[in-house]
Amino acid sequence: MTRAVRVLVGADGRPVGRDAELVGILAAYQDAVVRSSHLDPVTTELVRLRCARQHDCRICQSLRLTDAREAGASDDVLAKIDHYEASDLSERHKVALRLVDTFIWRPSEMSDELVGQAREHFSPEELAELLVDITKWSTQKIHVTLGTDGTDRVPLNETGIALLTFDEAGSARVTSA
Amino acid sequence: MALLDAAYARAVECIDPDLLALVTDRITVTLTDARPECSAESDRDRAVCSVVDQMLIDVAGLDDATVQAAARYFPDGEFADLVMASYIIEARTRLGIAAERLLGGVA
Repeated sequence: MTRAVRVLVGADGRPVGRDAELVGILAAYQDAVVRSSHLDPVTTELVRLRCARQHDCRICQSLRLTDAREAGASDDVLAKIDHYEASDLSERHKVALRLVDTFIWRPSEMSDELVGQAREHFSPEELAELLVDITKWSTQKIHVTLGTDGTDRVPLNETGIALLTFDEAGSARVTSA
Repeated sequence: MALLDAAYARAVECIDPDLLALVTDRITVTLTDARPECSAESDRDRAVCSVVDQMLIDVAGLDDATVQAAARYFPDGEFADLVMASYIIEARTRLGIAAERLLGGVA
């Protein structure tokens, strides 16, 4: 779906007039989530991109986590996300993606089978991180709703991709791939 | 999670309480099948509910006209605050449900 910028934005491309305290707290939440380190980077990237595709966030779909790439999240691996059930992704990764889908669509309908799979493949700490990761990667919904998820400020390469890195404080940095 | 709670507390301070109650009710009903406690009675509220519903169900399907129909009631950035508040309420609700199933409580 084509998507216009739906609110008044400033020179930085962000909506004007927002409550600065609310924006700041939400940013601090996101920073805290990405500082968590129980999950491996490849799982984190699969979860992030599944969220991006479910929400159709244009910026997020164009980004690739640098540490995940270095850990094996190649373009070939990431291409399996859309049809993951039929793919040769590991069962652990498939369970993670099932959890993403259930969380995003109907968390109240999470099956006993999926709960069992989740507990088999992930520790409680990993599961807690996975859940808050989904909320972090779902902040995209704000940008999609406001139409501020365009890629015009992202340094995309010829294949439409840029790299995403987080510093120790959790702040994001986007660079050319 | 504490920061998400803090974000919610700030949303309570800066969003019209009746509107926030409407949005909260809409999200809770949709995600938990609870009974609705308040309803959209004005054109503004109905427009807001249309956005909140689509954000909940499939944000990718939200079109420009639906958003702009609601945004026109909120000058000076208040609509963006409302959208952030809707996200925060939704995230807390989904997280609570999923964490209860997987971990027996708060993530």
